[in-house]
Amino acid sequence: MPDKIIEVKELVKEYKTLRAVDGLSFDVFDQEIVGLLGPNGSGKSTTINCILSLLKYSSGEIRIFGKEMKPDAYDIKSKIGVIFQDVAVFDELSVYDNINYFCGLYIRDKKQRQECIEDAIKLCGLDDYRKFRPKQLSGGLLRRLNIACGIAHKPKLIFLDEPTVAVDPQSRNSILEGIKKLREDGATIVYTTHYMEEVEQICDRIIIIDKGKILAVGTSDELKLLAKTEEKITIEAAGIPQTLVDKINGMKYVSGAEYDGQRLVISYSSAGDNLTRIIDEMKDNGIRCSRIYSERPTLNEVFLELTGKELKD
Amino acid sequence: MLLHNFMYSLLVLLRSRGLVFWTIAFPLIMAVLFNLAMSNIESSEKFQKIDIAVVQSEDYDNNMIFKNALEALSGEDGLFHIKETDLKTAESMLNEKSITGYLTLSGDDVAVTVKNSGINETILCRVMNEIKSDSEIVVSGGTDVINQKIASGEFNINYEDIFREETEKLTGGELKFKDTSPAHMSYVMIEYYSLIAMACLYSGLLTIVLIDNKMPDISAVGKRCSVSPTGKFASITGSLLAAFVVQLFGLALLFALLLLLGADFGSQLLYIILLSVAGTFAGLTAGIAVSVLIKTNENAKTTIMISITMACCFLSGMMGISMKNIVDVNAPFINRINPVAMITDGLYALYFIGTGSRYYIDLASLVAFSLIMLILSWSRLRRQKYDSI
Amino acid sequence: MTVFNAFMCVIRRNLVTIIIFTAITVGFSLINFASGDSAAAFTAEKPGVICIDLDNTELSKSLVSYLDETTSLHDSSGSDRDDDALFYREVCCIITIPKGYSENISSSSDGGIEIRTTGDSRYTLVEMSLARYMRVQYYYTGQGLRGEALAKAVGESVADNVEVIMKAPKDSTALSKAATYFSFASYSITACILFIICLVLTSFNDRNIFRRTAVSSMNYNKFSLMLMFCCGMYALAVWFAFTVLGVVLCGSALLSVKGLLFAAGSLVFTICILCLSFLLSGVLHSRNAVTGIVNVIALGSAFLCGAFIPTSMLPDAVLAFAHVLPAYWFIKGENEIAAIESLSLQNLTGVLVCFGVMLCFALVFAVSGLAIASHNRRRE
Repeated sequence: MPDKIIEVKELVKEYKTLRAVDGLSFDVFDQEIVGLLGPNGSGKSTTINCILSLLKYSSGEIRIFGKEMKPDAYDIKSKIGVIFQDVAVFDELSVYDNINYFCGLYIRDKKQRQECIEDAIKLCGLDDYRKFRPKQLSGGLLRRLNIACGIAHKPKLIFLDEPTVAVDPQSRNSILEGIKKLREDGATIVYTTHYMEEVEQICDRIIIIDKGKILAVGTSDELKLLAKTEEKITIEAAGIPQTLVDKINGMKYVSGAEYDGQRLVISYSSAGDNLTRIIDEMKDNGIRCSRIYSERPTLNEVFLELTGKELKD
Repeated sequence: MLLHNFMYSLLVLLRSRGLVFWTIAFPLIMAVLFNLAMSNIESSEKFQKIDIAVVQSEDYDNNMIFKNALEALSGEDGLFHIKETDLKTAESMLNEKSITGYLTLSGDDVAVTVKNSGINETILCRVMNEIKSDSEIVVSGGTDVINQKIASGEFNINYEDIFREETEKLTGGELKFKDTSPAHMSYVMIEYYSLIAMACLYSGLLTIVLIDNKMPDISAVGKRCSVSPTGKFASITGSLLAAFVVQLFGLALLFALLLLLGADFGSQLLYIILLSVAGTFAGLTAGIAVSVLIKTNENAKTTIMISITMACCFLSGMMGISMKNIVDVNAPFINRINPVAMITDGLYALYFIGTGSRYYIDLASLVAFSLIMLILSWSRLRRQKYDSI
Repeated sequence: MTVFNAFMCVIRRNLVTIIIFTAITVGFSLINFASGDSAAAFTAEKPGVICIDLDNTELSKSLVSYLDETTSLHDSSGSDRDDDALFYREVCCIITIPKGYSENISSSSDGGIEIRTTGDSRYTLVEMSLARYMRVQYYYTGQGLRGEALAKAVGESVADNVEVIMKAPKDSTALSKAATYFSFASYSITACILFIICLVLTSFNDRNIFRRTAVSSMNYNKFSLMLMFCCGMYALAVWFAFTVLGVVLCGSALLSVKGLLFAAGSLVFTICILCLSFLLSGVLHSRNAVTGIVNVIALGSAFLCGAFIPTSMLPDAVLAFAHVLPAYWFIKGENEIAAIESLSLQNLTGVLVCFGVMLCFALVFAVSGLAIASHNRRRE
């Protein structure tokens, strides 16, 4: 079992009338990328701010690197890097100066700092923009600068709070690659987002939160098992008789079949050799199919199933 | 860490145009404006010879005493420029305000015609009174002397000599009062002082920006600073030092410009600098209080700071020096808590009275003001965990 | 209506600034009217004097009562306060009658009197009156008069008895007060209008908001007209407020034809500033720039044109330069209105010229403002 980097026990944060975090408990292990997934206002940022000791919390316990986290626990803080949702840089300082300033809050030694900054600039692909002011940068570059400022001091533990909001696919890809690279270098990462693809792409473990409570924890595949529908097969064919549809409805694992005259959609509650069996069934009935395809549930569907489909905020 | 924060705060401050304008350029612009507008004000306050006219007439030509008196008054050290003219011209000159008034004689009586009731008019009337009553005194005094002589049987009387003697008795001899006037009376200096005070207070604008960037509940950069292993006080101290240096640089420029424009700071430059430093400290702490205690965005805070400073400047005489005196007399409490007035009054005390208790009281008030500002901000400044962000 | 609401929103958010400018104007006017500030002091007949009588004899008392008649005597309240009063020109001199004054006067005409003074022209009057008193007293002492008889003889001789004919309109002081009020108000009007309108227009001119407006279904010309209408209404409101304030402060003197002229002058000036704010908002692009430039313009023209300091005290070079600023013509106009004796076209020429020049300024500002606005729009 790898070391626990973060331990959160029974964390509760109450605002006047609202329970933003409601008895949250989870651990984060060494060199793991954990995704905190949840709709807007589900308590992700609040949780992170509590872990960072920025927010007072009503009850619970937070330990980082095995020690209790406090506002003046500078030895812990020196090993943490945070990338906030809002871009937090000085408009008056150039790209290089911004990174240098924030890195300087962690590393005193100039030479060591210089190396760190160079690495961060390389990692975030900001080499051509050293002298630029934040106002002159595009949205993606600004986000990359925001990240560079947070990770230049080579932290062991990194919090990323929706770092890819409003970023084009190229920049996003480069950011995600960078995050993976950081893990390879030995960092543990807590990643907050509501982009499913990103989570699937990089997270080892995913924690789904809503209304301040944990709804599910596990790897991407584990979570998909939670979905009611395990497989969905779509057949495009004309002239399927209702009797056949009814028959399919009664087959093993089938949780539902619907036909609109063009497309037959069959949902299965468990995966297996569903596809072969349905193809056989079609052949037996002499139906000519133009297309048949099978879909596994996406994280997106699991997420929507768990957190509900109504609009948040 | 202090140095690191200091250097970067300095960079941030010097690169933001708005701040540089308010703390450095604006006081300089104001200094030039003051100088332009007030370079004349003190000389225009001094007495200038009054232009008057005398309406020519037979009575006037015959009245030698009056004529001689007027001649004496229009000499080099006299009070008047006198023009002899006819009534119509005199009237039109009065209408054009090229003369203060004109004199008309009928018999021995002088009449003064004026258009307003002002200082010059009053001087003119009083001088005419003087001429009239002087001649009455001399006539009655002389008559007494003559009567005495006649009574004592002396008939060889030189009337002219007697009257000259009496006149000599009354108006002869130098009359000079003992002058104990203070040496430093230029009130334009007060304007310059309130300007220095204003510049000191504007340093609050610097701290607003810097503190906003340290507080996690105010800005994103503040959050980033809070999660770093640098203690809040180390970083705030570094920033305050930077603001201090920027402000002192601005003040140095202002002092240099004022000296160039002819301001007289006397020999007490060291005390002036001490007071300005205390004033800057008051400005910086006021900025901290505004930044921490008022929950709004940076722009609004800046506007509030500028407005408060302007109101304080008004109360300490920047837009008309008598305001400060009026507040001092009628509501001294207001200027006891007005940092601009403390600075202005301290500089005034130095200039007018010299280093004394008044200067030190002002200095102490500034320190007390700064401490109160810090105490007010303290609980929010030292907070490390927040109820909400 | 949307434009109007947005406009009101900006005004509400800057209400503090508007209130402060208004309060400063009221404060300034109140001081000016109540105390006879440096501006009004030159026309005061009885200059302020502090007299400290250390002798306290019959003769010294009769001198004090003479001073009380010819000057406005202020109570002494400690030497520090007295010196403050002197420095701030509340009084023009401090006269100290020394102990032993009544014995001194037979040997020296000045009686050992000590004087601290500002040396201004008000003091010239006091010095003259005092010297005369002392001379007459010395003369009668030489005649052998003493005590009550001396005091009586001196008192009779120094009393004013020359006939003075006053050729002046009756309400001239009230009107010159009004002129002072409007002169100062020019600063507040400039600041209030320029600041708010530039803020509103720069936020509407903001690139993104401008584009959003441009793509909306609203006719752009109609939108611009609405915006200008709102600005105009706001400027009118400011003008109206300051005019009403003027009537409140200056009293019934303004409820006359001349009062109307004052109001007309400030209206023309308001229009001029309104046009200037259209011009500036085309050039300025950020809130910071607006606050900075507006302050420099408002304070600069106030100082150079005589809003704070009477024009008569400004150096000629400054006045010559001030001709290029609208505030100069406004203040000149208001002062001329105050000086008019009877209303006739001939007497009004000067005033009308001032109004005309202001309107020319307004025209120039408006035309160049439009040019810049259309240039900005084409660049988009």
